[in-house]
Amino acid sequence: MLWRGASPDGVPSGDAIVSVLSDRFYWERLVFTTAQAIFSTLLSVLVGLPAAYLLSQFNFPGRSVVRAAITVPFVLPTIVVALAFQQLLGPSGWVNGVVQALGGSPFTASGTLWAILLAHVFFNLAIVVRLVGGVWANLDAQQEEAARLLGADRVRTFRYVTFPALFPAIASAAALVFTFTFTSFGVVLILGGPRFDTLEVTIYRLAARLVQLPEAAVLSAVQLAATIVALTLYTTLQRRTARGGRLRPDRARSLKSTSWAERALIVVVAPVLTVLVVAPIAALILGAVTRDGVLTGRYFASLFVDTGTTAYVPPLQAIRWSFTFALGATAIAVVVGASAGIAVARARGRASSILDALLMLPLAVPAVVLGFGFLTTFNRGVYDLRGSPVLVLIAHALVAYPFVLRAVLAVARSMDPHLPEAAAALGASPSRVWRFVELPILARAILVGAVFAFAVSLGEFGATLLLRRREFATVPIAIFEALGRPGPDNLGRALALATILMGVTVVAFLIIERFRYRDVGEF
Amino acid sequence: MSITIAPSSRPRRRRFSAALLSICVTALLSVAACGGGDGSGALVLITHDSFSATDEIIARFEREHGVKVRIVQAGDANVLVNRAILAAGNPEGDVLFGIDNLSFGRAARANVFSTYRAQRRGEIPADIRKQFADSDLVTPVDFGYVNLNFDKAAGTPPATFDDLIQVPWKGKLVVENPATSSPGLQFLASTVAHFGEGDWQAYWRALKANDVAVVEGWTEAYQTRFSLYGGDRPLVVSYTTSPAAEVFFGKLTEPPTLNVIPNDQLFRQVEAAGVLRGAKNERAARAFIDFMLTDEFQEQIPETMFVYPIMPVPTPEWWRFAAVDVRPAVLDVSTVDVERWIKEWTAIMER
Repeated sequence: MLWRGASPDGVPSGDAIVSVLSDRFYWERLVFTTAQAIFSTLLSVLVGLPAAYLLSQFNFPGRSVVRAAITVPFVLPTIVVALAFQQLLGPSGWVNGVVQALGGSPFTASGTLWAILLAHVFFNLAIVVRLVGGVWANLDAQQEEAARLLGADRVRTFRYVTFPALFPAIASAAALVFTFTFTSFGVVLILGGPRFDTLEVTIYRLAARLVQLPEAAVLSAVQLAATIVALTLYTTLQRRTARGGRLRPDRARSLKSTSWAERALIVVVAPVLTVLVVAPIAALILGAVTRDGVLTGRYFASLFVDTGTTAYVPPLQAIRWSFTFALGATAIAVVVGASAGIAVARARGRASSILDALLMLPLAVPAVVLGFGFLTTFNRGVYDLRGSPVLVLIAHALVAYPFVLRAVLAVARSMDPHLPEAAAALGASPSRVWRFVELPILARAILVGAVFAFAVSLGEFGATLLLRRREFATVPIAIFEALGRPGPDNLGRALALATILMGVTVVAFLIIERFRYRDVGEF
Repeated sequence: MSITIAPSSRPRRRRFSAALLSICVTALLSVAACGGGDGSGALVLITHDSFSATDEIIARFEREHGVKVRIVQAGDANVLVNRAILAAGNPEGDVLFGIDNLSFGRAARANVFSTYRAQRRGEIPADIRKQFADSDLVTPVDFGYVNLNFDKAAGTPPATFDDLIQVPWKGKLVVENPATSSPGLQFLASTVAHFGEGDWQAYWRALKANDVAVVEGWTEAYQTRFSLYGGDRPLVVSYTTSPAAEVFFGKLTEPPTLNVIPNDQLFRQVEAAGVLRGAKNERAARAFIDFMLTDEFQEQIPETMFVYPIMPVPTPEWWRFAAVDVRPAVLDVSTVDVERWIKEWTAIMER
């Protein structure tokens, strides 16, 4: 795609580069993109840190469910997120209903910068909570206890002991969130407006009109460069977090042993968390089961009614295909991601970080460009895979494997290097060392990454949209089809399908919770 | 640090992992077994996301011609054409449906189609054929109009284009971005046709000053911004058939919305189908084009695609809410420069 853009008439041309780089409009876009990414990141960290604290330090009933629920937004298709926010914040939404009942005047949230920022936090909270929380849960308590013994109060302990230890994790979470919000597409597209276009949306618009493909190509290159920088920062910081041997088992304690300060924190953070994460989801579910304020199951029931047209996607078939793609993509992602993770862990220093960043690139490429790229690549002779479900499978595997990579890498780096050495010293051959020492340790991480990959594949929308056929349509596609026609029933059906998607995702994540290797691992 | 693995959980975990692995491999194989690409003897129809037809009519074609029909929904009308252009000569399918009079020039220049003269071509009105320069590269199949839909619950509707830039209508309209939305582009075309090439820019500047909302596509505009569905805007750019569609889907007796602009100021979009150059199954492609002009196919168009059939066929009872006076705005299609319109529009609206 980049090549086509760079050579519009078959001849490479630098005109587009000059015209784009000298156009103030594009610089403004770059500035806006960076600014909103920074703000989104700050907000996410601000909300995420207390949440990470609560979830990693305290054991309370329903903790796994809360953690799973926080992670759900991360994998929701963006149109579903837009719908959820609309159900909540729209003029006839629940919030407005409450406001008006209390005598206030109606307001609208869409098309504002706040809508974008809120949605970004909604999406990315999971990253901060799990990354930072994961490390926090396993932080060596002895150092903090030593500080307290020597006379430091809670604040000083936090400032000089806990925070520095956490800083690499916080910074790497921030870098990752920055990457995601910098390249944010769906959220900005739907909840923003032309004034709030990011670079990615601008590229999409330019590419949508083929004549401006050269400009799109130049902007893509700029974005890619910026993303690589951000990702390299992330991977370098992450490398410094996982110091082998510093991690201890989960130190969560029960809620009973809280101080008044901690209780105050809970009282403040819990409502914010609820509003940010639970409310949009709850609004969505409510929309799927009510009509004009009355509880009804009609939308779910009507999912199974064949409309007799080619646009109808039977929900069971959609679910079956979503699962099939998810399982297949997970299989590929496990093989690719695990190998990549081990390779990166074994590499040294700078090379390791750069390799890591490059391997994470699929996360930074817009799904639509990915889809278009596939169509123009796999189109000749025996490689003509257009129309084949294999292409969708590859696309899903591509966006899923980075998660396996991250999970495996975290554990591989924190694995005690003495263990395989000891096994070798005792006479085990390299393959035995691998099979009986390293693999069992990595297996759990692979499982963690695999279930995450599974969930991401379930929610994949952008590339699938471009590559789909009715014969193998997935649940996000079915949601999209339902939304394409007017009528409250169609909207209700879309919400019902979205609810099913969320339910399946929560179940998948609850499975992660059962198999987390003592909470070591990034996700 | 010591890592201990509880011995009792190992066999259990191994069994679980083994089971999971075999499920994944099975899934992988089942997807691969579905084959790479479309089998021989199938007809592949490339069309846009709004395409729909009854299973019955498709089955009828499959029976009568002995070919399986595979439908590729390639995006909206704009993406559809772009994909076809990107793949010109080595197309993804055999027949393309959904090329409209605004994008025909672009596709023709990119040599996307091969000619075919449909059997019933003579019955198509001349003014419609002229929308495609009377060329044999494509065959018109249906047409439609984009209009402003007004939510009746919001009171009295505006009457003309000019009303929209007045103060009482500030912040009440949502339109789609013509760069990424087919109805958005058609609405822009209507303003060009109505105000003329030199004056439409001023109109859009006035609209912008009057706080018009711009969204990506019809779904966002209609399902999330339109006040009928909980949005904040009572006026939306949609189709003249949308009120009728509300009656159809909601099983109502009266539409909850109405069309605002008088029909003679609206741009008429004509959709056509064409045989793709380099198609694997040209015979079936031609047969399908003829099939789309049969009365049976034309009759099911209103209820599946909510556009107007080109042939005179009986229409369903609720279609009366979609009745329009057939005198569309005149726009010389040969002078259409969609790219320039969009560039200028973007410069006005997005900066």
